[in-house]
Amino acid sequence: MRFFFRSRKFKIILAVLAALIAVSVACAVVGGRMSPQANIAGTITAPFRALATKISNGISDFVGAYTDGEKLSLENAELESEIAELREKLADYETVTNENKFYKDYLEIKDKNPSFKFAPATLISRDKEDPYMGFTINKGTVNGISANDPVITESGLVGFISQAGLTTSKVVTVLSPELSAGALDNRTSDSGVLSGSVALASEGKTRFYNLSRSCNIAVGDYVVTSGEGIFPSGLLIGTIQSIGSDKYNTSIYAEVKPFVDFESVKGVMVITEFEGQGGLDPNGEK
Amino acid sequence: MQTKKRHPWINIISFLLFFFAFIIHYTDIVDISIKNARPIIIIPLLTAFSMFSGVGVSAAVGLVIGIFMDSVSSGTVCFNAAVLMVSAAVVSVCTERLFNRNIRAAVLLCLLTCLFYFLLRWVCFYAFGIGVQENLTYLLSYAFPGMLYTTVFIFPFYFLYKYFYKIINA
Repeated sequence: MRFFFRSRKFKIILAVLAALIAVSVACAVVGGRMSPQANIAGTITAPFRALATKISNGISDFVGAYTDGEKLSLENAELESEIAELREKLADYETVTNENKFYKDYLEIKDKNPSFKFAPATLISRDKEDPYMGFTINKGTVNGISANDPVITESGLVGFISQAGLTTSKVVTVLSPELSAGALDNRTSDSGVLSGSVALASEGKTRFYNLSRSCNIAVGDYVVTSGEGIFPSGLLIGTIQSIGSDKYNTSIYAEVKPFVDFESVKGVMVITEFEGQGGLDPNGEK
Repeated sequence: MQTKKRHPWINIISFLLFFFAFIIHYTDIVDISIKNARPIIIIPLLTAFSMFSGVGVSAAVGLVIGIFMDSVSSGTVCFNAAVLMVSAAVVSVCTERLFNRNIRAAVLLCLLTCLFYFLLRWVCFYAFGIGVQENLTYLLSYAFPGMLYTTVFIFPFYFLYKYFYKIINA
């Protein structure tokens, strides 16, 4: 063993390790950028991953049509009763017209926010080691995408770009504690902070906290971005599923179920430009 | 069993194995996860490969695979490259100088590699950014189940590589 520690191979491995650590530190200082070698590797593998994702989607669609029939009909019945209940609720709301606007698709979002510039992207790989369901998309800096750009689907907010490479970018979802964004209860305008946790991520939920004890939030309310931080205001996040108070009883928090189903998301839109862009970074720092 | 003797078709098969392991792990083409236990099949594959390869080749393959993983994994810049390079080199050195190339050594080395990988990942990306309860949840719900499940995959890869080298050295 002693001979190995004196060998040239050991010294080379140590030198490469030192170089990797140096690159890590440099990327951490600069922030939001992929390392050069990962950038090259990402560019090389992107077409293969895109192809594999296409094949995977095709297979699951084909198989799903046969195997999930019974499950889908049950789910459909459940969803229909849920929709009926929601319709009743909506009818009582004075703000029904305001809430309906959240069902608008990308074009309508763009109509309403002429300052928004979109870059459509497709998911090419999922990070299965990430409990917060982060993924990689097939667009990068050459498509005008940069770190901290918001990522959405027609259902609502997905997350933000954590690292922008040349032709691929990594997305951190709203389930992650890396994301810390200002949010509002759409009905009451009570404001707080939205950030994820490991425990809630396994249930596909995130946390809306730092709410005043006098707030009037209720289960079923919609949560939207407040415009503080890196996100534009008014992006749909999800619905409040439960409410509790922190251990010191000083503030209220809520568990929020995002509208976006992260397991089935395939295509996203990256907002590359919007009015008021360049706020706090997702960790709450300037 | 010799480690220096190599056949081109072994390199081609190894390349294809790593390629498919990468594709399987990072796309939804085959989902082999059980609830939160998500195996990283690249680790047992690399362990088996390193057991039957020299230190330099193992470290180089670990480095390249790690770089490709870093291009996809969220939050990591050079983590996978560094960890997999070191792990592959250590496995290769341990096999050459400390252990025999048997299945017990393979399971032990794979388990230790997984432990090293998952614990280091936890320390680097989760331990200091989240609370105690969150840390425990991560370790118990994701890291340890993932680690144990990953180790299971050493069996097919070990026997595959053992078979290759038996043929070569026959």
